[in-house]
Amino acid sequence: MKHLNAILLGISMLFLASLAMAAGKVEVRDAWIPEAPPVAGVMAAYFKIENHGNKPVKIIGASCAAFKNTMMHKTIEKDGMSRMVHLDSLTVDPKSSVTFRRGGMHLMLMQPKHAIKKGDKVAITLMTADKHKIHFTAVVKAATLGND
Amino acid sequence: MSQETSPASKLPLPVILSGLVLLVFGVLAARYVLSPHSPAYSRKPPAHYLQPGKPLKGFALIDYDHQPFTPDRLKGRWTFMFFGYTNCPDVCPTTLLKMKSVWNKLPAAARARPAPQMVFVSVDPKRDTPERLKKYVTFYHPGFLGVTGKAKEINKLTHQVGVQYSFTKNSNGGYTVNHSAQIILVDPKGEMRAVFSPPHKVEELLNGYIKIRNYYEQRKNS
Repeated sequence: MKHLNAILLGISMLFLASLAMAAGKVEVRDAWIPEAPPVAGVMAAYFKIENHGNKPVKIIGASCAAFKNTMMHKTIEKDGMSRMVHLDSLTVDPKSSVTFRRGGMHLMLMQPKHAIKKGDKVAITLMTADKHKIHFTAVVKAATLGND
Repeated sequence: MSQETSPASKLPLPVILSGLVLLVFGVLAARYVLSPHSPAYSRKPPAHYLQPGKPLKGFALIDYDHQPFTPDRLKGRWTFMFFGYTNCPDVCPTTLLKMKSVWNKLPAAARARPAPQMVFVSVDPKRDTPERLKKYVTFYHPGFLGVTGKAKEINKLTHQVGVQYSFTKNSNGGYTVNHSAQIILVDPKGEMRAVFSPPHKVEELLNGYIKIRNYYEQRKNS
């Protein structure tokens, strides 16, 4: 019985370690949120997702405790018309990156639960299709063009 | 039996042939010029200028201080106009920041003429009350003006400037607004003079404005 326990423990530790390793292959960098007018019901988060691994990583959602709702969006400009498209998922190819930037993809943060001010650090989580969670922090910066 | 002949059969053969050659050449040339691969299309023109200007009329909106915003408010100074909504996370804040940057980069003389007014028109009056609009717009610049009104009145203006918008429900019960992202430039007579297409570059907006204004003032003085 002792042996079985030890084996089970060993297996679960290996499993956890592999999970941690897989998650470690994806990194989110330069995450920031432009400060918005206090009345704004929405904010946007911009960042870069780097996949250092050998397999594609599929992001299927995002969450942020400071906001009621979080969605992955893409701004599409066609014939002068700008519209936002909801992204159900997003794949980051092996050894490559995807950047969320102004006028392109962004995390739409809706209905802040409290006032979000310049200098605040906001915790965000991305969920992958294979149930990993990628945690990162976005810094709220002044809404200027230079902060991109 | 009719003796009539068709007009073409009266023409000598060389004339018909050279006509055909010209037609084929013309079609090919047009196809090249209009093709997206031709040099003329290699870069989207940053601005479309209107000469003569197009008078904007017949709309009755309100500004964020509940004052009427009618065609009269466009008289006496240049106006930059952008259409959007305050729940817009990406395009509207970025465009307002670009308009602020244009404002900040205006040469001192250009601000004293008088300065152009920067107007944000909300096409989402259901959520964007004048109070909300004021807090939103002045966050980007205290001198910027926010305007909205009844949908019917908003449409009178959007139709004239060629701006379109529509509403799309999202999965959490709310909605987003699809909208044209052009910046419209209006002269001091209240006539539309230029349409700047997105994506906007601050330098293009600034230089375009200075160029149009100089051209306009030279014509006025000549």
